[in-house]
Amino acid sequence: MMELVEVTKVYNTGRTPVHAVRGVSLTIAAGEFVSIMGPSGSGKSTLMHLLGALDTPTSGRALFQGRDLQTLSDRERSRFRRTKIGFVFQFFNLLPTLTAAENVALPLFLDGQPRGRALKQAMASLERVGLGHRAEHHPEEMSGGEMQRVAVARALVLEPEAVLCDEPTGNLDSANSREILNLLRSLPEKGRRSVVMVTHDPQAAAYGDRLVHIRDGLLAGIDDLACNGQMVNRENITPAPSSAFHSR
Amino acid sequence: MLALHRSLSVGYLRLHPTRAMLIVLSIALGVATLVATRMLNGSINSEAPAAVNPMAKLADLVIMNAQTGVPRALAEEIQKAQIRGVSEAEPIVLGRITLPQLDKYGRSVWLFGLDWNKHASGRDAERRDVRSHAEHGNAEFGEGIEIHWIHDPTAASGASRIVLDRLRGRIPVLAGDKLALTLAEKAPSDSTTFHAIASSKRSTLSLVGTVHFPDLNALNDGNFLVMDVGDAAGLIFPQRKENVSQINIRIEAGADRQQVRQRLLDYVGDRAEVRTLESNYEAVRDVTGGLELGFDIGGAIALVVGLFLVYNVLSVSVAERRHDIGIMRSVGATRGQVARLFLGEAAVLGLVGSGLGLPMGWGLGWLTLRPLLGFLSEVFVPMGELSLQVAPSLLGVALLAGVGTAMLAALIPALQAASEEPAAAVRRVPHNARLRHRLLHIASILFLVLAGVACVAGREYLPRRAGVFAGAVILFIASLTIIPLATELMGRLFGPIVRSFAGLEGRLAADNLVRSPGRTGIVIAALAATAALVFGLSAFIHSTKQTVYNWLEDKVAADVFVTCGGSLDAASLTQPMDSHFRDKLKSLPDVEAAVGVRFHLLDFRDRIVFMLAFDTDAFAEGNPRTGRTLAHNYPSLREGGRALVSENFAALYNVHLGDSITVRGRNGPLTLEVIGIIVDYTWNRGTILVDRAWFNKVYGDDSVDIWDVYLRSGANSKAVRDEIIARWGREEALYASTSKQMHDSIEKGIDRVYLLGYAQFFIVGLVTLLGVVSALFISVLQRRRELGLLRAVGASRGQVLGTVLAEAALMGLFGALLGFVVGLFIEWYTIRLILPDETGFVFPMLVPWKPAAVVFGLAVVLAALVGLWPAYHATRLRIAEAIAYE
Repeated sequence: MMELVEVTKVYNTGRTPVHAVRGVSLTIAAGEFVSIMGPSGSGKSTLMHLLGALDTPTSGRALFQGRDLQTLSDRERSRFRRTKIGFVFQFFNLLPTLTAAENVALPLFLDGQPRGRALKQAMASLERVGLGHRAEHHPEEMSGGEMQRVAVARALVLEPEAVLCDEPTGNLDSANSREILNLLRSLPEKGRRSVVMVTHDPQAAAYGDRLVHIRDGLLAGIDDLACNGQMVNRENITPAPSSAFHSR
Repeated sequence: MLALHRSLSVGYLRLHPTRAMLIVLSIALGVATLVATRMLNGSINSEAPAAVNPMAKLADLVIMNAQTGVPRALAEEIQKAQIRGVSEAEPIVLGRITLPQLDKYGRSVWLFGLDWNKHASGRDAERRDVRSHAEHGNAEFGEGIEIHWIHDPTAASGASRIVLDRLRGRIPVLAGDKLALTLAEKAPSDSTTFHAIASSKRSTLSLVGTVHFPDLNALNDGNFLVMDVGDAAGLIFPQRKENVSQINIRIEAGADRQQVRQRLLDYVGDRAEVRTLESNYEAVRDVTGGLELGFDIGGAIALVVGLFLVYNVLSVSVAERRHDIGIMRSVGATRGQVARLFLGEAAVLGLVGSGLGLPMGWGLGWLTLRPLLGFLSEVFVPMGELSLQVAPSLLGVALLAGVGTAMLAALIPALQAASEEPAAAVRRVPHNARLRHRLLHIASILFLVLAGVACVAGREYLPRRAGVFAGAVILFIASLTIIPLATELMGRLFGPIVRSFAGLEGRLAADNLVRSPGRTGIVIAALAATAALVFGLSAFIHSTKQTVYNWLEDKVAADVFVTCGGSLDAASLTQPMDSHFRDKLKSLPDVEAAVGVRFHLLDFRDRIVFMLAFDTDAFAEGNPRTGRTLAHNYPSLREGGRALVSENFAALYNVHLGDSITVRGRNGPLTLEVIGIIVDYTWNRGTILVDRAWFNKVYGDDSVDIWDVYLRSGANSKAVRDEIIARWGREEALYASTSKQMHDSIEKGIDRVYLLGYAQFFIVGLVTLLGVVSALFISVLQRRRELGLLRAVGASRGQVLGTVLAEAALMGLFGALLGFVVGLFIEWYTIRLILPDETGFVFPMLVPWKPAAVVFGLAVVLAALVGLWPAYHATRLRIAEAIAYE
């Protein structure tokens, strides 16, 4: 469903160009839960941005259902993000001036849906993450776990085909982290919806079907965590040695 | 999109009410200035022409020959000629007359001469309402006349009373209601007679009733007299009683006004001009246009300053909401949606600002109305009333201006917001588009400069005043746009100096100016704009005033000036005097010479010019003072048929030395040879100077408006002035001023003109100070982490306060410095471009150093003062919060 082919990403922010991703190829199947793990600055978030059309590769191709995302116009990319992708960020990224329901309804507002209908749909999404009772609250009135659940509700409100999560538990305590990870784990639908989660937490990473290791912008290895449809012990995952794999 | 606006914009504005209020206020003040100026312009436009010639409003067409007048017989001739479309031709006399028993030195009032018989006969007696146009089927000019007779003239007793008055040498007269009341209070009981002075002659008038023109606003104060046209001509044109001021033409129902005008033009030929009401007014508007242009430019500049401040606030709002924009973009918002969100917000705030600006503008207009009325009444024409004109189109203009300005100001921030890359915005990656923005900035400046220069250069091909107006506004915007770059440059230049003596606080403040020239530059631009306007205006006033003083000192060197009906600073109230008064003046032992001057208005190439006729033979040959007189320098002026023209006349009408110019005389065209082009600041439409004896011969007018009295050396001018007033002041309604008084009165007049300009700039200044407060607040917010860090590493509250205040003071200093430069440009623009275009006058450019120093001091002190609040706010920051990441 999602594919990166020999992608590189170079940032020219200072005097020296920063090579965030250096020729990574990766395929994510529909219904799969993929964790991407690596140390800070390894390029894992950039990889996720490329998958979600938040950014475009410097070279190589990012494909979604076979379509090269780089061939899309800016408007088409916006529409793609709105309808096909749901994002969950580390710092929740909720708009502070909106209520929980309004934050969830944001993609629907952007889609031009009438306010009443959008809020109704947002309510349904909030109910799904167990936060129906917090619909009228502003982000500042909620705990970190609740805010992240609102973010998940927003990501799901338009029933996207992929949910991309950038360190979704990075700002949460262990109880809230478990709750969010279980929620995310319930999202993949066989043949339809995939989840990609960037994390540097091995325990969080263990929730995935596959674990992709990234180091210095290179693909350092992939662990298959699902064996015959059963999950491996998620408490004993260790990062794979970088030398064991080469970027493809 | 509406749902998005409702959720996002309303929420944001609710979170930042001060910021929203600031935008609304900036727009409201700008719109208020615009509305006030448009309303005042509308009032001047509609009332001033009517006040100059109130009777023209009663006609469809007017036959006139400026102040020269037209033969009364022409009315009868036209009537007999049965020109197609002409229904009626009525001779009218307009003039001013003094009633010596009222006020201290007499009161100057309007005198209208109408066809007495027509209005007094054949109508119902007690109250008549002459709806002349209803009779003639022309509903466009539906004015009427209401007369209340004391004794009905159609009845035998009334008629015989009028006959009796005439036998006793009294002139029957109707008075405006208020004037009639005042006369009744002053007169002995039951007496209806009173005196009037016209052309230095005293006449006895008999009040036979009151009159009211319900539809002529200009006459609402009731300060006027109406008498028979023949009697009025005798008083106003004593030497050419066969003349009247104009002939009012009424056309037949359904007749085409332009066609009738053409037929009349063919008929009267060179003898007079046939004007429609509009073209009649146009000539007057030509004179008031300069004032209007000044108002318009002031209003537009207030909006431009508002625009810059709104831009500043919105830019910061975009910067602050960058992360939000990133979120929106990552959940699928298109660039268009982001841009529309910001533009929509600006439009709503602009709409609210316009709504608030309308009543504020009305209030401002109302406050300015009285001083404006006073100014126009004294300097230009006595105006009974001046009402604010609230045209429906004005509402549209105000809304358009407010919303347009807000949206224009939001355009760049909105585009910036739309251009955000979602990944970078979400991750708070710093911008990397500095070079691109800088190039764009420089390109915008170049574009604006080129557009402004093109407007000025091509002004001849654009509608009148449009090029100069657009050029002024565009170049002003260009100069403000340059300021962020100039600020950075100045920050780099002055930074090392500031660092060396102002300690850490000064260093941080200077660094901050260099680091954020965009944010601080806008506020400095606003400060510079206000300083530039104040400085530019002061420089303009200084240059014009000083030059006019030098001219008066050098060329109008009389010791005492004598006028009738009004003093020199109330030029509109003065009225002509008899030429024989010179003998009386010369009878005073200290008087060496009395030069009679007659100001005569003339139509010249569709404009009103002054013909200034003066005695060229007043000095005996060999008198040392003749060296300063024009008559001495141009002896051939006495021969007649020759004229000197003012420099501005030569410039406006492209006239050169030796050229012949043709002006309309009493009975046809007159040709004058131009024998000299001289410096003369009498009239902004140009002055023709001729010999008064020649003028008398060709125009049959020997009256004098001002006597320039020259005293023998050693004589005391104050004593002579007092003696003139004591001898003839009350008797002949004379006013006398010494040269110092004349200078003072001219200064007062000039100051009053610019007082209105200063009032406008006060508003602009207010908008600017609002901007400085907001910018410093925003600066504190943006530097929150930096200030928090300072506090964390041990800076005291005083040091933080010092940094913010130092930044404010530096902004004030830079603003004043740049304002000085822009002010010089404004002075150059007004003196070298607007003034020559409008008046043909070319003044030298002088720099008023004293006001410049005051502006400098004020800018620094005010900026520091308004910086106190944000600075205090900065000292109250909670360190832990300020340095927290999120």
